[in-house]
Amino acid sequence: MRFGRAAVAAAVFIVVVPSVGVAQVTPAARVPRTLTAMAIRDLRFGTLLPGIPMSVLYDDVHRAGLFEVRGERSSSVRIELTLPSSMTTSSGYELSLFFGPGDGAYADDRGRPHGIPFDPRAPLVAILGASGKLYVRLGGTALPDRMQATGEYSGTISLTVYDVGI
Amino acid sequence: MSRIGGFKRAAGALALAGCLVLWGAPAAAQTTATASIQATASVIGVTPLTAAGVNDLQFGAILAGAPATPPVLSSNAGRFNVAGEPSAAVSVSFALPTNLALTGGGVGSIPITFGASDGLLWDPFPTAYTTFDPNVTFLTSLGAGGNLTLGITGTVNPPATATTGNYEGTITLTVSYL
Repeated sequence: MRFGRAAVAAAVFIVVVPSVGVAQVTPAARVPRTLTAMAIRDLRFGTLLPGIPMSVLYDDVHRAGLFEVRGERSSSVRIELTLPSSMTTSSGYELSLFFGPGDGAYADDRGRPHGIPFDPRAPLVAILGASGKLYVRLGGTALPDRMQATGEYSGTISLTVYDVGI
Repeated sequence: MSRIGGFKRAAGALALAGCLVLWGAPAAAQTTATASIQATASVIGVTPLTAAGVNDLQFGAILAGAPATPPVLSSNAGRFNVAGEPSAAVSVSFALPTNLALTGGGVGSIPITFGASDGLLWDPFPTAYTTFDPNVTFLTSLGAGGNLTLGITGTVNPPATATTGNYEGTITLTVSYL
């Protein structure tokens, strides 16, 4: 904000005395880092059998879903996950999915799989780390029924991050 | 001349100043971002259940005022082929019409009814069948080969005032694993 005012004052000065000091003006507005979200890893339940639920914990480094959020370091962001209630096959068969209050975790370091737990069904407000990064991990439970049809099932999980501006 | 030159210089300086003001203003950053991943699973489960209508329920040419049924069940009854997990128990239900509608843009309909023995369970088709009530859910199982042949017959009751023409309705079968 301070830089913004300085630049305007210099501009007014230039209009009045056009030949003076143009080269000395140093616009230096600070550009906030762009907020980005990236998909790092799918939530993989692997091979399931009918009637046998399968849970993936958020700290499973091979199968838990993983997102990376980047933005202004130490800034606050709100994160919302859109969670499907089922996975489907290309021919329309459904496999139920469940996400519980302990299925999400976040950390500012990718090397810390444990992180801070959160309920992925509710919005999360978090602070980006000193690196400007935040990692969101997601577990869940697949619930094949007793007569679950053979097939490859998938469902889309979306993460949206908002700059809270604090 | 000098006045014009002064204006030009002033205009140029103003344009440059504008650029500087824009350059010096805080830049707007993206404030929302979205990413998606997939939840995936591979199920080794039962064979997917499929059903196909393979023969329409055909009453043929009928006379106004005279109730009619299909002349030959093996060729004129409605028929569905179901496939899935061998020997798996399934429920069978029909959505049945109460009228057949005159086709070709005409206005008119004839009532159709389905009796308690109008559901046909062929085993094997086309030589033998047992009956069931298609008006209520029917429980059965797929054969050892994972197949099931179901049929449906019924009775049309054209009124004496029925208009000449073709009449149609839709019969829908739903089959589910138990």
